[in-house]
Formats: sequence, structure tokens, C-alpha cells
Amino acid sequence: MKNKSTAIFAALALSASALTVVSMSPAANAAGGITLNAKAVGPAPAIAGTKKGGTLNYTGKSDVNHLDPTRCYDTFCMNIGRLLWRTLTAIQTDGNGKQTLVGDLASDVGTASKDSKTWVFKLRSGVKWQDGTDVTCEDLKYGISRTWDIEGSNVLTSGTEYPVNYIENKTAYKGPYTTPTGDLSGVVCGKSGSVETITFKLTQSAGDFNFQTTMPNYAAVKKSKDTGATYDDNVFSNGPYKIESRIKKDKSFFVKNTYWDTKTDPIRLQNVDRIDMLLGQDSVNTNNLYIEDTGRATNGMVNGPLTQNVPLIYDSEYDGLKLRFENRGYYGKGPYVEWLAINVQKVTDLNLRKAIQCALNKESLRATAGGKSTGDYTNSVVPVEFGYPAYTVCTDNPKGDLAKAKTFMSKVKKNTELVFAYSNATTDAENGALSIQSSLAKAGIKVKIKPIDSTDYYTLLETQSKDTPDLMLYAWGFDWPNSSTIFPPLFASDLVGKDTVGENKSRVQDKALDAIMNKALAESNATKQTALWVQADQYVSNTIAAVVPLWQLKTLLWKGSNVGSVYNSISNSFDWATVYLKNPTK
Amino acid sequence: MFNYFIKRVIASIVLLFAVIFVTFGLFMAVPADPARLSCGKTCSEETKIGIRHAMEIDIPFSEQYKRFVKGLFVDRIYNQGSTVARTCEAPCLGFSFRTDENVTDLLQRRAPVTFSLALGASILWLTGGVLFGMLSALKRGKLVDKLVQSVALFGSSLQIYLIGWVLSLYLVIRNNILPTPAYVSPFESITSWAGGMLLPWITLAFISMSGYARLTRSGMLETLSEDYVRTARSNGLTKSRVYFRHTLRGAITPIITIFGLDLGGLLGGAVITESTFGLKGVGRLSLEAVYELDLPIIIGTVIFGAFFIIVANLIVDMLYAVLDPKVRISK
Repeated sequence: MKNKSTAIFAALALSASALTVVSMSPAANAAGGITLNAKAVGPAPAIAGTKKGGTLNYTGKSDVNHLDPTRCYDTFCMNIGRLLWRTLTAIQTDGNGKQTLVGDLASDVGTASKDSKTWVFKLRSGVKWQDGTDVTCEDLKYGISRTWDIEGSNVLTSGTEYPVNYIENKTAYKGPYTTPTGDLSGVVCGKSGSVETITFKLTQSAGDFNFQTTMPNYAAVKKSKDTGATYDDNVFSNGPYKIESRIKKDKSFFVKNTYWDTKTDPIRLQNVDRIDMLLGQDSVNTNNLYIEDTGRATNGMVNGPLTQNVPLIYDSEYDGLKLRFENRGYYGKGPYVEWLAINVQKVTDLNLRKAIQCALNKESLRATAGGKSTGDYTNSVVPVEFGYPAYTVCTDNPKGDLAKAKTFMSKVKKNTELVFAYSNATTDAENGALSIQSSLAKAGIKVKIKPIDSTDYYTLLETQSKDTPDLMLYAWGFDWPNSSTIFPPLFASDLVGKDTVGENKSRVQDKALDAIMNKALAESNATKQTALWVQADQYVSNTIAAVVPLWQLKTLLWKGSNVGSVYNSISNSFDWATVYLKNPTK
Repeated sequence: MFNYFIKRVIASIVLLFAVIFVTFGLFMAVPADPARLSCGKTCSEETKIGIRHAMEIDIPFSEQYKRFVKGLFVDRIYNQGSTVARTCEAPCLGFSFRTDENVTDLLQRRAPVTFSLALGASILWLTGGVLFGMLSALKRGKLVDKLVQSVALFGSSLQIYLIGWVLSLYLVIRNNILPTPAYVSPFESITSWAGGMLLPWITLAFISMSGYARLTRSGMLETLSEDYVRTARSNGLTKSRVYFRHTLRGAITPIITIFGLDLGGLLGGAVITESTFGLKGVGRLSLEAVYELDLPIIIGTVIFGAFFIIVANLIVDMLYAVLDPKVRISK
């Protein structure tokens, strides 16, 4: 079974057959500032001012990559897809932006065994498909099993691999197309009295598995409606909307699913009558449309920023950019953090890495990226909303500390020239490279800057070759708001192979760090788990100096003046699940 | 003449296959990996190997090319023998790496948009360019002539995306004078079709018209100075008959030649115009495919474009022989 993390969890793995479930306790996790509600029921929390009716528009350049939940792994497809499919658990956003983990297809947030390797969820009754039939446990199991197609026919590309990495597969199941009569042993449907249940047997402890089940892989799919590669355009809905028609990269129309019942859904509302998506539109024209707030734009949503600077104006008090029309957008913290990754396999001297941390002038670097508008300084790779205690990485002075840098440099045994690689897609990137080169040079650190074609850039970062750079910029956003989707995917040793390193751009292979991460992943107590992640955070930044944390990136979103919505910090968008029109007749 | 035509057709077919071969080869030379792009955020090496196999790009180049060419004439079966084998009917251009759509179907859907754009814009620029060029030639040296030449110079130095955005902002977004550019099939509604294409037609025609105006002007000036034109006027023929039937006829040959080539190129896809106005034509499709390293679509759009350019060259060559008796006699 393909399992990237098998090696690092070997110390904790128990034979599944020898496991005795001593006690099951309701999952008491909280992560990233999100609390849990094990008893949430529909309807979703009301938002003040909500009205029903009207057509919501979307105008944009790019279409959703994949509406098929098994293939969906970006926020855009999750935002739109959530209107069509429901996952086992989900994160509810209320009218004030407060977020809570609740059951979606589940009626609870799961109960974990003591070692967090067995999880049981009760399923909600009354959830229906768009043809009026019930959504069953078998539908959910089938939906989850589709992820295994990456071990089989590879028709369903692009999604996450979480289920394959965590759920037991004792029968060498390879997905429903390659092993159509096979069974995924780690997912078992059952009953507890009259209530359907679903049980997961995991290959490794997962203290926050009920957050993993918010991923699209954990959506139900009705087997008789699965059309394989073309399911993308024919998603069979159990959400508040269904597809009326869809031409990829051209237009899509969604209408109400009349079998969706608000009483069964604590996440979504069914406010608008219709959603009209027009794709492949020119960015400048779309931006002008939104600035003028005319035509489609008045009732319109967008996905992410349009052309960056046009809707922003300079605010001299703030000494940065702010939104030009504040009632029509959001310009604030987003969920992504950016840092300078140091390749520890090549920059082996800890003193040199610490010197880099001290010497880097973040202020000058940020200025090349747009100044204050880019983001707020941070000393961590974790978003500030997680609430971890603040700490210092060399200095809190964004200009750096040259004196400390020189002190570290005096202990460096061999000062070789370092290579900083950057994508040549924009002139900002080149200016950023020059800024890094110049600020490190002041401490005596020699840096050669190397532009890389944008189509090759990410391949270069993740492959092991003689051209692998010593320094590179990187950014990351969590899959769900917990450090379990930040540290292991970025710093686990077993990601570093002979040919590729996955997302471990710093090429970190540290047993002590692995041990902290393993322990955190297995810990189901929220407070203890958080303490371990805090430890991991400071270890990466201070103990091994594998990164120079830079800033938490700002996000810019537009919407039409007639659109009412709440900012959802996890999807980094306005919340499509509860959007409404202020005047539905417009 | 017939032999000449046959030879030209055979040469055109050979040229088309050479273009396909070169495009295939260029794609293979690109270091980026389409499987990696298809894979998503996290992607193990085993997954990429599986995707390359499903895309049939893990076989040698010569075999890939052979299967592709065969598929143009005979139905092609992808992943033959597996539980997910699928048939691609001839002429098979494959399935998109990104969206799994049949490329032939995609082109069939997108082609009417490009044809509509090309048809309307070309009629506008040809008639407009010729009329203004004639006017300019007949009023040589006068204010009208200077105005037409200045506007022509201005138009030819503009970029489509600039004039497109400006016209969009003032005519559509701010003042609702023209409808939002969009393609509606003429079989659904002829008025919506024309309305939706009007702004792209005007934009493309304005920029292209300038070249034709200048070409017509210089051709007309040359022909107006010919003896036979003076003879026709002195024989009492009306001005309109002289200018349109005799003078223009003499000047039109090079214009038709250029028009044929321009139209052929446009039928292959007006990338910038389609992108500026959000029209989902073949040109836009080819641009997206290049960004996404979607080889089947790249090859499909290259064949599509090359076909029309080669056919246009062929027609222009034949038309030239028809229009110009001197060429006909020499052939």
C-alpha cells in the first residue's frame, strides 16, 4: 500500500489484528482555533439580512478544475463543489465568521479509540440525492473508495491522497474501476440501533481524523451515477444545488436541488434560486465590470483576486494599500504563510543558516512584493489564527540584525556561495531576489541569484539534482486548520527521496522533529496536541533554522454590491454556502 | 492547370503532416511533465507513473506518433485491454490531458466561434478597407486622403487588447451602447449572434482595415495612371464604372491574395481577440493548451490552423491564376 508516512510512524504502529479497543471517547479535538460541535443540526446559522431568491453570477477567467469530489484539491472547487456534495464532516461558518467543526453527512464529529486508530461516526438520516433517494453509508463508502483509483487506472487524477495514506486496505483494493468487485476493508458500514454508522480502521494514529474527513474525498458518490472521467461535469448532487448544464471552461448553471432539506444541513443555506457561471473571461474586462458594479458584476462573486492593484488605493495613514470600495470586498489576512526555505542538505552549517535568518532584511524584501499590502510579518510557518504563543526568530526587527548575523558568520567553517532560485514570471520576483542578495551580502553571505522559467520552477524545487538551489521562497496553506496539514507534509523525513522531495523544500530529515510530529498526530487531547505542534514550530524555525518565516499573506476579494456574504478564512473566499442577494429582484 | 492543382494539393498534404511531426517533436523537447501538472498539489512518483501510462506518454516518441497518425484514419483504443479502455473515433485527435474531453468534439464546439469572428471581421475590414482606400486614392492630396492615411496609421499601430479593453469599457460596461460580447449560435438567434459579435468584429476590423486601405490606395493610384483607364474615361464611361469595374479590378489582385492569407490565419484562431472578449474559440483553446501542456489539444489546434492556412494558400494561388490572365497564360 502506498503510504508516504509509513516509516515515520513505524514506532507507533500496532498490529491492527492485535488492537483491542479499550475505550472510545468522543473526539475532543480543537485545532487552529476551531471548536467542535458534536450535536449540530440544521438549519445553518442565520445571517442577518439574508433574503431568498435571485440569480447569483460568477464571472472569471478560469473554470473550476474539477467538480468531481475525488479529484478536487483546491479552494475554488471546494467552494463550488460544497454546493453539490456533502462530506462526512465539515466546517460551519456563522454570520460573524466564527467556525466550528460539525457533522455534515455525519450527525456527530466522530468517536475515536484511545490510540486514535479507529473512528466511528453516526450518519445523519434524511439526506437525499437529487432524485429523492436516500444517501446511504454504501454511497459514502463508494465515494471514499474512488480515491484508490490512483493505485489502479489513474482516471481520477488531481485529488488528495489522504484516505490512501491513512485507511487500512487489507485486500489490495485498487479502486472501483480496476477492482470493481473488491472491497475496501478499512471502511465498514454498520448500525447502532436504528442509526447507520461508518467505522474507519486506520493504519496510523490520527488524533484529528475528523478534520481530515472534511476533505472532498469523504463525499458520497452514488455508484450508479458514477461516470468516471466525465463525472466532473455530471456530479450527482446531495447538496442544495444541482447542475442544470455545464460546458467546461465556458459556462455552468446550477439550480436548486428540491430534495435538499435545510433541517439536515448545519452548513449550507439555499438562498439564491440559481447560480450562473461564465468562464474564460478576460481579467481586465472583469475587473472593470466589478469596479463599475454593472451588468453581471452587481450580483456577482469572483474567486480570488482579480488584477491585483486596480481596486486598491494608497492609504497614507496605514502606509499601505486598502480596498477602494470597502463594502464590496475583503482585504485582510488570508490563510497562507510565506517563508524563505533553506536547503539543509546543501547548507549544512547551522551557523550559516542562523546567520541567514539574522541578516535577511524582510522589510526590503516585502517592499519588492508590494509593501505592507503583501502581508504581516511572522516568525512562524503557521497562521496567527492558530493562536500559538509568539516567539522570536533571531530578531523581531524586520530589517534584521546584522551584528548577530556577523557573530554567527564568524563561526561558519566554510562560507560558500549560495544559490537563490526564483521564478522569472514577474519583475517583482527579480527585485525580490536582488533584495535577498544584497541584504545577505552585508553579513558576508555570498548569494548568486538564478532565474528559472515559471513552467520549470516548481519541478526544480521538488526534484533532487545538481541544480537544486540552496535558498528558495515558498508558501503554504493548510488543508484543514490544524498543524497536522502543515508540518508533516512540509518537514517529514520520508518525503526526501533520491529523486524528489515532495513539499519538503528544505530537505529536512530530522529524527527528533519526526518524533514530535508523530506524537502530535497521535494525540487526541487538544491541549497536548497543540503544545506538541508549538514545539515542532519552534524546532523548525529556531532549533534547526530550516526556514526564515516572512509574512502571512493578505488576500483580496471582490463581490458585487448586491451580494451579501461572509468571509470564510478557511476557503479564503466569501462563503458560497451561505451567500445571498440583498435585493433578489435586481 | 489541372496538373498544377494536383501537385499543389499533394504538397499541401505533405506540409500538413510535416507540421504535425514538428509540433510533436517540439512538445517532447519541453522539460515540464504533463503528468505532474495533471496530478495536483501532492503527487507521489508512483501516481505520476500511473498517469503517464494512462495518457500513453510513457511509450517511445515514434510509437506515440505512429498511433496518433493511424488514429486519424482508424478508430483508436486507449489503454487497450484494461478495464478503463476507451475508444476514440477517427479522425481521432485524442483526449485532453486536463479535462478528458475528446479533442475533435472540443474543436467542433469551438470552431463556430472562430468562424463567426473571422467571417464578420473580414467582411468589415475588406469592404471598409477597400472603400476608404479608394476614397483616399480618388481624393489624393486632399484633406480626406490625409485623414484616411492618418487613421490607417493610427489603427495599424494599435494593439487589439488595448483598443478592445477601451471600447469594452466605454461602449459596453459604462454606457451599455453595445451588448456584452458573447457567442450565441446564429441558428438560435441571428440578432443575438450579430449583437454578441459586433464589438469583436469592429475591434478586429478597425485594426486590420488600415492595411487594406493603404494597399487599395497604392494599387488604385498605380492603376489610375494606366493608359487604359484614361482611354476608358475619354470614351465616356461613367466614373463609377471606370473606378469600380476597371481601376479596382486592376488593383484588387494583391488585396485578394493578402485577404486569403489573413483569413486563413484567422480561421486558425484569433488568440488575442478571443482572449480579450472572452470568446471561446479555437485560438483561445490553443493558448490554454500551451499553458497546461495539453498535447492532444495543442496538436489538434495546430492541425486545425495549419489546415486553413494551407487551404487558403492553395485557394489564393488558384484564384490568382483566375484573376490575372498573365498568370493563367504562363501556367
